[in-house]
Amino acid sequence: MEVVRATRRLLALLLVGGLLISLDVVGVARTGALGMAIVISILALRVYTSLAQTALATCRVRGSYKGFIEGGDVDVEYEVCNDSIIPIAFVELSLSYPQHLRLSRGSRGGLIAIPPRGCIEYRVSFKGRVGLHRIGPLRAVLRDPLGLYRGVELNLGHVIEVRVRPRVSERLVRALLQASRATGVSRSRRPGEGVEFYSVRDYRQGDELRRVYWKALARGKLAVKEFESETSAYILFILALDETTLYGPYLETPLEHASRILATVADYASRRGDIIALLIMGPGVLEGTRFRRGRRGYVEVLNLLTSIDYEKHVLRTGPEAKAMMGDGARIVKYIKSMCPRERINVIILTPASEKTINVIKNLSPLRSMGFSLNTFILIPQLYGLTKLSPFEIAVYRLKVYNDIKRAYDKARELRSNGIRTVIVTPWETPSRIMATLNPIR
Amino acid sequence: MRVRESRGKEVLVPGLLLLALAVIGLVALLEKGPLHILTAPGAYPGNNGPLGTSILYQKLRENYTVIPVTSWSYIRQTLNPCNLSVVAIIVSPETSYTDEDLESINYLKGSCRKFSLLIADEGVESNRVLESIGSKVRISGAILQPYTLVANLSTPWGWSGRVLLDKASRVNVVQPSGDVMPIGFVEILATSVEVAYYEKVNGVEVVVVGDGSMFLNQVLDSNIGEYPLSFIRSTVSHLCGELGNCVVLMEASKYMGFDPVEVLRSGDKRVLGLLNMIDLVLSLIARLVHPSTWLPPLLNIVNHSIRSLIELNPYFKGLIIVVGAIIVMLVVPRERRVKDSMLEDVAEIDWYGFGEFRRHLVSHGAKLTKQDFITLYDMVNTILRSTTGSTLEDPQLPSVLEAIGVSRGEAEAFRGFMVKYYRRATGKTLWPPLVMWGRITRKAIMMCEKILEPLGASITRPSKLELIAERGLRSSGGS
Repeated sequence: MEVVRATRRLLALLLVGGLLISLDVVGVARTGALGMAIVISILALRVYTSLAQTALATCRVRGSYKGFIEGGDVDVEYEVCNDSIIPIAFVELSLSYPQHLRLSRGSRGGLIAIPPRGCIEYRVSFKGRVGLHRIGPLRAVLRDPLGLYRGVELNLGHVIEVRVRPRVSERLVRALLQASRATGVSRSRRPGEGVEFYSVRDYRQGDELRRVYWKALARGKLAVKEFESETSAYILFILALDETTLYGPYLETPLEHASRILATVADYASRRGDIIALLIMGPGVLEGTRFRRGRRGYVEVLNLLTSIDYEKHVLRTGPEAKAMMGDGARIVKYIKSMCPRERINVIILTPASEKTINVIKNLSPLRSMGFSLNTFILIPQLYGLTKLSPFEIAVYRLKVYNDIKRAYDKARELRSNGIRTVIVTPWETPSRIMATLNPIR
Repeated sequence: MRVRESRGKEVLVPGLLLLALAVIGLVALLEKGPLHILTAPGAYPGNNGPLGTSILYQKLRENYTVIPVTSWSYIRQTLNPCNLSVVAIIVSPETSYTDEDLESINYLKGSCRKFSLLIADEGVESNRVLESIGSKVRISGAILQPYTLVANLSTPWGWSGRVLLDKASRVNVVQPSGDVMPIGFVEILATSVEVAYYEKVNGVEVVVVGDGSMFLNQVLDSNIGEYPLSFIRSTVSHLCGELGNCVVLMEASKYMGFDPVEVLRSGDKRVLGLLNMIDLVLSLIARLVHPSTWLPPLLNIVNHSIRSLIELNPYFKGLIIVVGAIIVMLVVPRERRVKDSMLEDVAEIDWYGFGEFRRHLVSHGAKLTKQDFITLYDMVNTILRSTTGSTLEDPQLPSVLEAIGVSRGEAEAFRGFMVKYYRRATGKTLWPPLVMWGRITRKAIMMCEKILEPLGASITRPSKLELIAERGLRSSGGS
């Protein structure tokens, strides 16, 4: 296969050159030198383009990225170095990246020249969105300065796997911790370390002085206050995915909303010492973390959230994907295999779609093992309300109202299967979810 | 990296490019001119002819590291630092030593652990080296008669014997001192003539022999070569000392080179006889293969042929054009022509549940219909049921709304408007006969917004509307 191809301009110029030479040969005009100059230039450009194409194909390309937080800038940089002595001009570049990403800085393509023994840097920034994104390679097409030849398209550099993690609301985590202390939501009915008053007992050697019950001491009896030990719960988070989890404006989709909620709640639970795990199920994925206590659990949850691949896990179609979402027994078996014990609190975040709700209905057998199933349904249609004018919001609501009513029906179906179900709108915060969850801890 | 759109075998370097590179290479070679291959017929270590010193080089290599010196300044850089014992052997140099050469030799003398010099020369070129290191010994350069003489050699390190000299020179001492001692004599007409000296000058041992012939291949390869070789081995061994790590430097830079082809062309049988036959054949082949030999005559022949053909017949011009056109027709279609289009950029997209409708709503607005009015009525009814317990059908609704802060007139007008048009939309009445549902629904939206505000709900703002509606639906037990 030729690595350099002629464009249509070449033939026209070649014919002009040939005509000029012919005129000279037959003695009509002294244009032979000009014709020869054109032909020689064409040949020279052909040779140059081939050399430059070879130089471009052997360029050293290094790709890197910075930034990994949702909403922040993810800066992607490619350095293309021409180690040869041939200047490469001109190269049209275009960066490959998933359609669901959006550039915040830089251009997605451009025209460049790479000097001999020199390098160029190509930088762009994306607004980071949760998950795993494959950026690159750079697609490149070489042209000679007159545009007579065009090199075949080359891929420069490798694909960069960018992992972006959800943003945790530290303010909310603190508020949740504060609220749980005030309400004593994690009662164990056992004496131990905690904040809730439990009882008064006689002083024993080694008891802290600050625990001495002064009222009893005033009566001449040395006693200390006992506090109620806090419990740590086993919590399994389940994030159900399908294509509707990507509905909505950039950074404001159900997937991102759910990831943010999960990250915040996981952070809170880990600080409380809960033993947590995350399971992601979707058309192309059924993957879970191990149950871990505290920060280790939180880190594993975050890592799994950052590995969500939109193309492979969420947007996958075909019979395999259908089977994956339809096989409820397999999902229940997987959940059983990852749970170290019975009686686990399960928090499910799902879009209000037929496919995912049916899967969750299939989880009801887990109730027989003492699992507490709590489902939070996100309504993807509502995510389209953002960034609309007030009147547009009203009109949009009217158009999607019947769809939303169907989501209410889904919630009712789940409730009828004994699964606690709450509808969550895009304006919900994790505090609402925790308000539902805390009584069960 | 790989070529996209590849079909079958990938070709990164096309044939045309290789051809072009070959032409460029030929032109570059042509521009550089013909090859100049030189061979030295003198006492050069690379010369395996009778006058060369290749046998000496081979014999010394059996015991020492031997480096032929093609540049003294390069050796100076190579042996830096020089923690070695170095013996430099200079045999009958043919060209003069430059100041740079002498400086390098003196540098080695000063920097190496031990530096010694063995000079065998019947000419005067070596005297500059002797002078530069401070030696008092000089070679006279006057060839002794007769040419063939027997020298008696007796060295301080215990070697003594007789060797045959061929065209030897007398060796003189310019300033006699105790550090210089003669080690070789020849008898000419009952007179003893010194032909070899040993000297120790500033720690440098120097052995000077007034004849280089006993170092040559023709002597070392003959049946009289045993004594000279023994003398050389003994001398080098002494000069190296017992320090180990001895390097022998053999002069290879001060000999005149000849181009074998030029010699062949000149027919100088004397020089020709000195040349190595293999060198001669190889240089002839190299000269013949080089494009400077054949390319200009070839182009000349082609040029003359075309010119003579044109002069022979004027119609030949037409023939050239036809042949040219045929070549172009054959070559041009081989070039696969492509449309030079831009690379397609990534189209960034947002997905929406009602994506198409939403896009249309944002760009063109939306047409409201009778069905939308019914939906609005249904939605507001659900919210009212959830928050107040009354519905639009309930005549008590205005009173209920008045209790939560809505003016009675407004509440009654709202209820009347909604019920009237709901009945019309559902076909329960035909009055009013003509209804513009878009305008009516817009008006209804505005009215609803005013009524719902005191209830904490809004249909024009992102709010808890859907949650309130869900509560309403749940309490009514259906959707």
